[in-house]
Amino acid sequence: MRNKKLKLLIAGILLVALAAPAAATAYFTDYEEGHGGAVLNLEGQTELHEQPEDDKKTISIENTGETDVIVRVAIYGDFLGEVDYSAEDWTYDEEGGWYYYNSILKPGESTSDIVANIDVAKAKEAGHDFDIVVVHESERVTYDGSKENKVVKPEGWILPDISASEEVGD
Amino acid sequence: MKKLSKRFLIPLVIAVMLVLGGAIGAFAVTSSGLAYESEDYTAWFYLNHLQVHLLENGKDVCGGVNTLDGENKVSGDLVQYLGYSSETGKDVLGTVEPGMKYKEEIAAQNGQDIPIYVRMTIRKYWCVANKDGTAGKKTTDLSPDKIHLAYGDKPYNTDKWFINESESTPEMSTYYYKTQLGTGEEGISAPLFDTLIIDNTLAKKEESNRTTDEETGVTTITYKYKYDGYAFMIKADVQAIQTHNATDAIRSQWGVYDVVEGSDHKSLNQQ
Repeated sequence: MRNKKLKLLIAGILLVALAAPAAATAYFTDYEEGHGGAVLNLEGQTELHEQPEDDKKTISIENTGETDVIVRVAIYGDFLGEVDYSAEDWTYDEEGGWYYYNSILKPGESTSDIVANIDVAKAKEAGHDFDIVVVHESERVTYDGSKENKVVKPEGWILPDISASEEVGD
Repeated sequence: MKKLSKRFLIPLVIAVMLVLGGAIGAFAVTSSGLAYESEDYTAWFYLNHLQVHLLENGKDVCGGVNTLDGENKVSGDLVQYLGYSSETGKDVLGTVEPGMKYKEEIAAQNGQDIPIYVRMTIRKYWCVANKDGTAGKKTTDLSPDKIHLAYGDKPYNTDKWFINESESTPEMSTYYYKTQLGTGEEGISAPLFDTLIIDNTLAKKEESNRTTDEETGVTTITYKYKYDGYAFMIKADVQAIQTHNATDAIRSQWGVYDVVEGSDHKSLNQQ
């Protein structure tokens, strides 16, 4: 019986001992958190615009997607020197036969025109009709992570050096 | 039986009184304050709490009404100031371009008049995007390593912060600010990171689809991208703790053994 009283007493003392320090070990703290992200839209979309007229064909590319793209255009046909091209803001690669647009094409933007001027008299002399075939290719832009944000050239593209800007936000 | 009850009753009463006394005593300690008051003099005792803010490119991204610039920003929008420029007052975020180097300065700010120590936990992961363009379920298809947070050429600002490797995984890292954050202008930490780049290898083409318009004869080849529609996510959790009795406080609250000399963290060893 004496043993039981002792146990009860010890239990009571332990309860007090456990209850009291809880208040004394609190420290001042605070925290805040933020989270967020963005969706990667990787697929670019472009549309070719061709405007044939009597003695010329006007060609431009429009970025109809939501991502930055780079574009190139090749023009084919059975020509004997009767077509003359006007292509400002484009760089022509003779070896590959591609016209490369010199800038990044932002969503909603269009390239400046490539105009194929046909020398009608020369064409009549050559005695054949014209079938100007246009091939265009667009690539979603990727950057090299440098401070200048240089565009990474896709394989096989003889593209002039293009940079987006300085580090975005500077 | 009656005799037995009395024998039990006395120690029981003593035990209950001890418990009640202890509880009341503990309560009295926590609720005590300056109670002195006279006709000529009144003293007030303010018990301030600590407050820490999370900054992205100098802008407070914490939720609630007490943002530093007075704007009521929605919580959970850390990347909203990606590429923010204080000169133009505009952020440039439209679509995040792979490989593009974006300004992303992540820092902490002391929001009160009491010096604090801070640590920051950064989590990076990927989600599959919902049809409405919002981030959906978390996915492990993509490595967090494809989300590059850095400070110049370093993985983080090693001059001002140090990493606790034992609290870090490929997805999560915990960084401690080396010195305490003071008040006022000294209350803003040096940035932990200053740039964000999403790896440009994610933009590699995977499949192609060829279609020909019968009317115009135009053939279109469309390439697919494996990771199109994935969303990267960053979560930053900044925590502050008192500088008084900091060693015990940090040990108790953060679970790390932190040797504090003066105002600097000198070393840190997880037990």
